[in-house]
Amino acid sequence: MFNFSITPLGNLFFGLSLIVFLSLFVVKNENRSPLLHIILLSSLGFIFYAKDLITFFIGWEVMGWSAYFILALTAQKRTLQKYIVFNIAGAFSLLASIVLIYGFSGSFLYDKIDFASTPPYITLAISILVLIAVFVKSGIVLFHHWVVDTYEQSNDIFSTILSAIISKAGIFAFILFFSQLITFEYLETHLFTFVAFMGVITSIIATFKAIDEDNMKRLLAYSSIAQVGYIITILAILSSSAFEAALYHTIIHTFTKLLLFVNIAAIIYITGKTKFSSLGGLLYIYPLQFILLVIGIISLAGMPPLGGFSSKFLIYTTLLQEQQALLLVAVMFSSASAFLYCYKLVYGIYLGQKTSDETYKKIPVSFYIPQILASIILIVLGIFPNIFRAMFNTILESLNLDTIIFTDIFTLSTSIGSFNGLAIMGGFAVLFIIILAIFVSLKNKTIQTKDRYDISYCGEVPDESSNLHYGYGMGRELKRISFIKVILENSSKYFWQKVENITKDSSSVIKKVYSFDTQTVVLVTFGLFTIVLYMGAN
Amino acid sequence: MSLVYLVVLPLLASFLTPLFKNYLKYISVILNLALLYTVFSFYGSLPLVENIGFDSSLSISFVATSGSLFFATLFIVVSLLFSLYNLANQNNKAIFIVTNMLLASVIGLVLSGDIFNIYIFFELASISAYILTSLNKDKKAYSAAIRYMIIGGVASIFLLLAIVLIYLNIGSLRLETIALNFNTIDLKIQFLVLLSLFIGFGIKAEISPLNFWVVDIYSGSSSKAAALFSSILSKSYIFVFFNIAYILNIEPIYFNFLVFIGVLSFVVAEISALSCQETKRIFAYSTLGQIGILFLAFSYGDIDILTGAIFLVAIHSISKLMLFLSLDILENHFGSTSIDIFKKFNSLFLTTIFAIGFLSLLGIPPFGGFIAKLTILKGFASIEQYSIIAIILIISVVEAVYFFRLLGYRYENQAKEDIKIPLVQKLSLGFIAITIFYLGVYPDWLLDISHFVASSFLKGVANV
Amino acid sequence: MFFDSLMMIILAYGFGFLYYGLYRNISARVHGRFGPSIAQSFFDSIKLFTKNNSTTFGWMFYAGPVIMATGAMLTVLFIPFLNSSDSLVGLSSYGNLIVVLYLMVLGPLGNALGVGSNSNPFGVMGVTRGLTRLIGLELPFYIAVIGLMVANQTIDIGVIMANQSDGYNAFSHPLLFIAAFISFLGFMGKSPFDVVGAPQEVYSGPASEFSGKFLALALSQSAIFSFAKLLLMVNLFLGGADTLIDLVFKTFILFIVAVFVGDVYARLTTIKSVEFLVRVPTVIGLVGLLWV
Repeated sequence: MFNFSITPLGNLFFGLSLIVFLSLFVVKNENRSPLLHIILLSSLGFIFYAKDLITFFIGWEVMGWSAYFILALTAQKRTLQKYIVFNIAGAFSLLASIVLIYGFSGSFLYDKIDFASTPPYITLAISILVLIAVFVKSGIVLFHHWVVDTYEQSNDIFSTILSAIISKAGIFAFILFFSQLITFEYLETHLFTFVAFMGVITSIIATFKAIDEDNMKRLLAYSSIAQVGYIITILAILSSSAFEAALYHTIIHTFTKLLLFVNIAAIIYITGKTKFSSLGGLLYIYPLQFILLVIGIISLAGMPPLGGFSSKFLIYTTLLQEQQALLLVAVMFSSASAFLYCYKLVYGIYLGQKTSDETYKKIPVSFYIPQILASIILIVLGIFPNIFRAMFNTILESLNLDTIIFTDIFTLSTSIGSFNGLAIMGGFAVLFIIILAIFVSLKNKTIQTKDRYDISYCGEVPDESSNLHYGYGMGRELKRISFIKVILENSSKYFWQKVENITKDSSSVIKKVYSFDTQTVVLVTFGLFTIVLYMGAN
Repeated sequence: MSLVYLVVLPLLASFLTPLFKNYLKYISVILNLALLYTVFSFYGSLPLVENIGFDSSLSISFVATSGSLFFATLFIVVSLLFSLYNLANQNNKAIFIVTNMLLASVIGLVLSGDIFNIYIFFELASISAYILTSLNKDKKAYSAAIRYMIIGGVASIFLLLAIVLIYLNIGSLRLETIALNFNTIDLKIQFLVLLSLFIGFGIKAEISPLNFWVVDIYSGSSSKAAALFSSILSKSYIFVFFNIAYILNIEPIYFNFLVFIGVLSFVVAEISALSCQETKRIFAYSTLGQIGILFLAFSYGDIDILTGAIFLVAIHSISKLMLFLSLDILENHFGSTSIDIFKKFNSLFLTTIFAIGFLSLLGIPPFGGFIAKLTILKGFASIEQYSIIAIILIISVVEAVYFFRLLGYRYENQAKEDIKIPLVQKLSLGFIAITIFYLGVYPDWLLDISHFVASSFLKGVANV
Repeated sequence: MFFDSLMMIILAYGFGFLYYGLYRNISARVHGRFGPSIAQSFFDSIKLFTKNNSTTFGWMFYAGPVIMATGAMLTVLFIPFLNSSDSLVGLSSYGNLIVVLYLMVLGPLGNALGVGSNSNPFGVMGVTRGLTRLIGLELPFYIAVIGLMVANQTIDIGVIMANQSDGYNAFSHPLLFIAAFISFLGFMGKSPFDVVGAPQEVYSGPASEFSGKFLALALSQSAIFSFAKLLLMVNLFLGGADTLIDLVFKTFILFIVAVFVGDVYARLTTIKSVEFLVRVPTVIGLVGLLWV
């Protein structure tokens, strides 16, 4: 009934999922629901290791509803509805494409599917249906209506799983369908130009919405949408270096989000607060958390010397190689704008002034484990950015794409340029230590601050009642910039609410058909009989 | 062993009720097991024709094709599960009598080989249904029953009209004779006959545009009655109608009309369910929708689609049985079936049962409903009917909206009452749930059976 | 290699302050004053190293300026000073243009972290302005840089420099140059985009709690960083330099032109600057890009 095969691509994705699940397993979590998590993990195994489309689809659906039941423990009803309706719509779209593929190939097995004899309009229809499913799972604009509320209202640990793994299922589906099943020569290129632009537009919109958020989890949710938008954009280029860039960014994003979500999960666990406006100044209470978050931020923004830069580098060079200058401009633009929400995240929680005088307990050690794991991986990837080259070549070979030349593990090279991770990290470390040494050894006297209100504050002296943490609201002023205002004030919410209202109204109207009373029913029946008989007799 | 036993045994049991007043529920179970055993004994010798009576043109004939035996088995299994569920309740004379009458008449319907026999069992089934509707003994139940009687009467009129016309023109009541001679009748009479048959069976088979009565009747009866209607009664009429249609070998244009009716039924029912506030009505609309799909699938005459349709019949019967019986538990506890009760109960078992039922009806893996839907869609894809695939899937999303809305109520934070469910009921409902799951994971045996049944359907007259 | 890198940093430090000194002089003459001596900026920063600090705020406040300085110096090391030469190349063979663009943000990030760790909200307001302005600044700048990368099909600064042997990019891609130049004004902290550190607007901006050695380090890294940016612009658009004298000449010309343009225009607010940057230079850049 089910067919499995161990593929390198499946190994990569399932390995990532397994690492994330295991590292999250040790974290303190009230809503355990182990059965549902096991079902979720197994369904991921079905998706990644399937050899035929039915096994794949079964995994996809089971992933959808097991996530629903895990969500149901903490989310509100409206969010649950949004989640399940969007995901089922995406899944049925996928089912339609699978059934169409069956109609033309006569089989569900990957090996037997052949698009050589399919008319192009059918291939186009199948591509669009698969893309709808991918868009829903990855949260591309218009289909992202469910994402942010779901992340916000789910259990903190489960948000991590959602962001790190479940969004990647859509990526896997994309790679599976558009490189393994339908090979490039049968695909409609205009469609994929459209997909690339959708991806970039998603990133830009999500980045600005993230900057505007006051709630930590919603900010990270929008950030996830933006990052996955990059992956979709680069995948739509449909070349082997594009797939490599996408896979690299998948790995980086998984670990970055693991780090970030567990970090804020720890903060929420200790303080119970989720908004920046009620946090702040936790830097010296939890210094290790702060450093870990900074590592996460640097990775998220894609800055050297950490691993995040390598994946961004690959994305940029691929776009350059394919002469996609406009896409590159948009991606770099949204990347640079991302610095703002990255800084907001770290400032709102750890920097600035404390907003309340509560004393907080220590963070349980179990929260640190996934974070430290992720940080180590990100730092290692910064030094050895080429470490995955062999694995990527294996995957590319398994998908019948061209492989890329391997140099040494320190240098990440493409046909258009390269960089050496060790040089950057080494240069940074050496300079940092030298400057720090010189700096610290300068013996200037310092008058230590005793009171946190002793600051240069325009000639006044602030007191208890002044709120000095209002830096958390950075990004609010962006609304006054016209193009950002357009982005922030509109929302796909309005569109979907209209759809919902139309359906509800039509339902009430159609239902009236059923509310005839008996006499009318009998009358109508006999009337119909007579009419049809008369028509049929002539 | 004669086929007649299948019909006679339940009837006899219901007539002999006063003798075993205190053991009724156990008798029920034993009776169903006996029937099951009897039915299995016929499997090897298909097709089977039995005539009772003297002269062959005026006798009553029972015909057992693989299709009829399949449906008969299905009905007996459903009845068995129902009686197992009822073990937790008191000995109820009315339910015992009526259920057995219903079972007998329904089995008779599917096993009949001549058209007047069909009419007899048709009437018998209708009477059982009317009484079943009114068993609750409150105002709503009585008004629903009277309504049902009137509409059922209309259906009977049309069926009788068709039978009379057929007899006048062909001179025999046996199905195979009718089939062989049907094309010799004047075209206009043919049309009249088919139209009357359609309206007669259509009303009872709950197909648009003739199913206005269904939702009110379901909501007026008790959940147990609705369970039986939904899983047994409507399926039998569908079987008989399509059996006759395939045997008579009617023109493809009529089949196209039936496809259209099926689609209309499905779409209208599912959309109407969205704005419902009472659970029994929602389930009723869902039944109507699934019947629409069944009509659609049966009308295509393609072996794969038909296989899927027969699989769907089996899955849908037991799923709806499970759902309505769970609703019955809630109804007994809360006294009403409005949507609000979903916010108020706290039972992990019931939630799981409802979840499995909904997921199966929607066609979500790994449950049986998925296999059914997949087979049907596969069939449509092979014959390139893309618009039907699109309609089915889009409306399924609408289905998902209202089913998950019900499920979502369960998770609202409100004061919840625990519900005690007797072990026997848990066992029977759990057994159905496990079967649905099993059919989702190992469907091949049922798929093969469905395939066999489908091919016998398509052979039509050659069967008999 | 270490001597090479050290020379690069020292040269950057020296030239940075020298230019500022010269600028203060020239600007003063324009205003009809005499101005301070050319080496005044040197004296200022060295003096600050010896002064006492008024406040500190813990280890992050220490680390902030250090990261800033590291970022600035690392940026310098990755830009080759001379065209096709083996000296003064530092680490540039291990990096490329994209690395440099991102390293340029590393310093400000350190600054932001350090500034944020103090309790003064005005500091972070300045940082926010900086980040917001960055959104506007990088759009035309990146368009120009991307245009060059696509035209030369490489991301190596050395190759882009070498390809200009038959004509500077400033003249073969004029629109890109104009777009980049306008952004460059902002990067250098010059009007009309200098709202970030504007001392008269809000009390001090990002450096509001810096004192003593912190301020000294901040000033020093600012000089190094300015030189790095000048160097980048010269390499990309003005053909790089073959000798050190050539380099000094070209960077100084660019610097003076930038400050003169800046002196003429009034300061725009953050929002207006972003809006301006997103409209005018971006469109210029896009047209230039399409032309490539």
